[in-house]
Amino acid sequence: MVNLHRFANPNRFMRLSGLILPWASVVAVLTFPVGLYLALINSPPDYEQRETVRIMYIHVPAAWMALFSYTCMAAASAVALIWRHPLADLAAKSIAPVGACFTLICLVTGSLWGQPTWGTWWVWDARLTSVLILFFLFVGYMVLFDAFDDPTKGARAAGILVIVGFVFVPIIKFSVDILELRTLHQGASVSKLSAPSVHESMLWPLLVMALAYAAYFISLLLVRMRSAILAARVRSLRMMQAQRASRAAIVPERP
Amino acid sequence: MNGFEEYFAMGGDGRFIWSAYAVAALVLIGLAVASVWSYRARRSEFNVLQELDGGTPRSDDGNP
Repeated sequence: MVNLHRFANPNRFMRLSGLILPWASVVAVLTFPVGLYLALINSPPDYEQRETVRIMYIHVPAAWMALFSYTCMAAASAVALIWRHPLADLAAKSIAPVGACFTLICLVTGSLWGQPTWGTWWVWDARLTSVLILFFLFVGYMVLFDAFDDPTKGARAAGILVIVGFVFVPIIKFSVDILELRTLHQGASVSKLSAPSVHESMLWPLLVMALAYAAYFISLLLVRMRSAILAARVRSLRMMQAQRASRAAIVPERP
Repeated sequence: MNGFEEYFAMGGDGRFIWSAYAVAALVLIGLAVASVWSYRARRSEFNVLQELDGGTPRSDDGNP
């Protein structure tokens, strides 16, 4: 078995993340403009959806990353609950707002895509409803995490919520395929990478945008985890200084 | 209509497309800025405390 605790050392994490972070953020900063150029200028309108197909390039990667973030968050929470890995809770907590933002983008851009193509902003079908629930799970996790005076209790309660809520991930993933007849949402277009039903001219902007979103996710995850580790160090430094100050205040009073 | 206006109109669906891109950009940039700000605030707080502690600032990874 891989010794997870080998990676549990915050000092080692700070060193490693300090090496990865510049690269990930450079990739994000470089791929977003390229993706936007491909998506908004260098790709053809769809024969059915006309220009609105351009919303796909920000909507679909957001949906992928929302599911990916949630899966990572559930995995990190499971590791935290089972092995008490000290960085796992930090990772899950750092992912939550990023995942919530991806889900929000997915919902809003989907709605703005639905109106011109389906003629409605929203339908309560399996896919859209389960993505909305995913958003509430991200938000619920963040609220629950901070709802307890004892942070370990909050982390545990929120972790259990996320693991139970993981049931929605396969529902979202397969809802367009299983419930095709009951949804307005189109089927997945890039499910088979060998023969995707998207033309190359539309596949490239989609893949570049997906890379940009992924690099953004890694950069933000690392920044937020580093931030959380520094916050913990600040807390312990303050505590040490307070102890020293109180000791210094008490000692001179002794005879 | 000149070419620029025509491009922005996106065949009549411009308002949907540009609003979608605007929302995505606002959310992504907003979260990134907030995350970096809070990281910087914590790092400077940590460095100040570390100096008060008498020790040399414990550089976490050598990054400025």
